[in-house]
Amino acid sequence: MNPYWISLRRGFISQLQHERADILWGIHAFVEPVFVAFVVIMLYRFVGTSSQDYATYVVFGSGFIGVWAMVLSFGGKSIFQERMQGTLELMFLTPVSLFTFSFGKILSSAATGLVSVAAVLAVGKFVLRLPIHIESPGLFLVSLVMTIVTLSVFGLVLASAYMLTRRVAYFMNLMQYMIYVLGGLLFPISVLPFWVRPISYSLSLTWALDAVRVSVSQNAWESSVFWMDAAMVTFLTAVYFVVAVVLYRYIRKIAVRDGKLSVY
Amino acid sequence: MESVIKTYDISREYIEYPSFFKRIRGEGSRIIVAVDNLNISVHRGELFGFLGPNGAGKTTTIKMLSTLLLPTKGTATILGNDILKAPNEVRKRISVVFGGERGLYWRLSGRDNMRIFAELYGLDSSERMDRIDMLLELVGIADRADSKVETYSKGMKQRLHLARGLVHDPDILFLDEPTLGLDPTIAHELRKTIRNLCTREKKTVFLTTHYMFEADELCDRVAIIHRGTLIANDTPENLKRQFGTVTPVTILLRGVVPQVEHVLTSRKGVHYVESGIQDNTTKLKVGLDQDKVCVEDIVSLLEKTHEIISVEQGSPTLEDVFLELTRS
Ligand SMILES: Nc1ncnc2c1ncn2[C@@H]1O[C@H](COP(=O)(O)OP(=O)(O)OP(=O)(O)O)[C@@H](O)[C@H]1O
Ligand SMILES: [Mg+2]
Repeated sequence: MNPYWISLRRGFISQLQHERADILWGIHAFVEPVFVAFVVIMLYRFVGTSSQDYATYVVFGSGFIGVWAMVLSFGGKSIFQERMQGTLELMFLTPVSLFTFSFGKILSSAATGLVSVAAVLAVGKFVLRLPIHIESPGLFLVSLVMTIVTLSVFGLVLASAYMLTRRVAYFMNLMQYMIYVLGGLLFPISVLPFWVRPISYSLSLTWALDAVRVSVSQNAWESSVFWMDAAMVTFLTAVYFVVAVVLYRYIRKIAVRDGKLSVY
Repeated sequence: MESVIKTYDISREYIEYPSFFKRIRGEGSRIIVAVDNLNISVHRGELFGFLGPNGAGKTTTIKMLSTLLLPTKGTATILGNDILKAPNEVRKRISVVFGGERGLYWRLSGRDNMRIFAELYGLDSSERMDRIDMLLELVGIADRADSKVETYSKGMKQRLHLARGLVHDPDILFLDEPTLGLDPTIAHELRKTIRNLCTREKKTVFLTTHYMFEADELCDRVAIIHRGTLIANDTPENLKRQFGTVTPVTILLRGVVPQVEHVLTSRKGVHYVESGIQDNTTKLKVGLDQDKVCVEDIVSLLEKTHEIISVEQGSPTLEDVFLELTRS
């Protein structure tokens, strides 16, 4: 078997095993997103907005809060934890790629995060009785996969930054909430101040989420917006990917030079 | 004899900065020489003990030899492959087992831990199962293989470490303090397992330990390193013969005699004096260089003021040699 495939698969499975052993993921993937969705929906109701306007926005936005939290707290940090617990250097000695192993881990966290999308969707539709109907189910699935992959690649960039310096941890915690705003998870980014928008547009999550919403609200096959979103996601993912590869190579190099594979 | 590990002036320095900001500015750096021009060679099938006080550079050496850390000078070959030029070749044939509780996935079972590494080393699924079962059996934790590692005792973790290190059937094993914190029975079992790896399976073992009797009992040859420099390298027997100039003598005095060691320490030929009190007797352990002073002199000196119950003369142990050589 191809060593890249082995490590990707192994990373994916190991992460699932770890999640099974740690109930904390339930909080990230279920409690937090449903709670946020609930609060935001109540706020929209309070100001008297029609549920037609905010339903898909909030439901999918807060669903992805769970995916994002999983990528950040489980995927990104798990690589750092490997270093803390002394397994990173053992991993380093195996013939497989640490990069694909990490990618497998983060991908698996992100995929678990889909639980949140389902949870918020179910709560929104059946408890809060919001008007949600998925217009283009096929492309909806495509955009979900797209979102998972692009967030995972983004997570890989964060994971490598995390390995470079522990100080990234402070930043990561902040990042969790910043993305709610910057990625337009709970309200459209068009309401953001002008100077913030370039940051939003450089996040592939912004485009991926837009693709999800377009596929829910209209016949996406004929929507140029959907394909534009998809193109942007592909482009930005490629950029993140290259950054991640470069960072991983660099880390490998300095880790053996400075003896940082096991120091924490 | 074929050298499977050979080092050429291998050296490692660490640069330390007092703080993050000083590191950025490159200020106030301090150089720590962890390993200094080390030259050793280890033969195939040999059990090689690498000894030294805390901070002597043992772990640093293992990390360099296993490609986890670059030397700042010099190099080494492992089974003929240069660690700098062919690190991937080296990694395939070696395994590193660090002592202690790190290096395991605590939340997974022992078997799952094994499975991860078996897969990453590319064992195919049929071969994998049998090998994992065989190794868990070998180290004696097969009955707890499906419990989570966090429920294991230290000894079980250590045995799992060893089993994990054997998963890809390496030719050379680096064991960094494999018996750290184990009870005598388990440590004994583990030593037997390690010994068998050399004699039966012709593996080469490079081992560090702080237990001198263990090194003496187990190792074909030992090297002693002190502050990064090699100070001795021979069989335990030869080392004892060569450096064991100090004879340990145990003297039992009646009564609690505080500060009796002061009478002795200043004497010529007395290398060390340790005293302990038990059951209304005082036990003195004295290291004597018999070329300079004989046991009788010491006994008659003590007899003037104290009642001697017994005198027992031992033969130098590896520990005596170690203490002698690493005294600064
Ligand atoms: N990453 C590092 N950065 C700076 N100094 C280090 C680093 N790792 C080790 N050292 C220093 O290098 C020296 C040798 O350390 P090493 O860990 O190799 O010793 P050791 O012989 O394994 O000791 P022990 O018996 O305590 O395990 C020590 O002075 C240690 O402080
Ligand atoms: Mg050490």
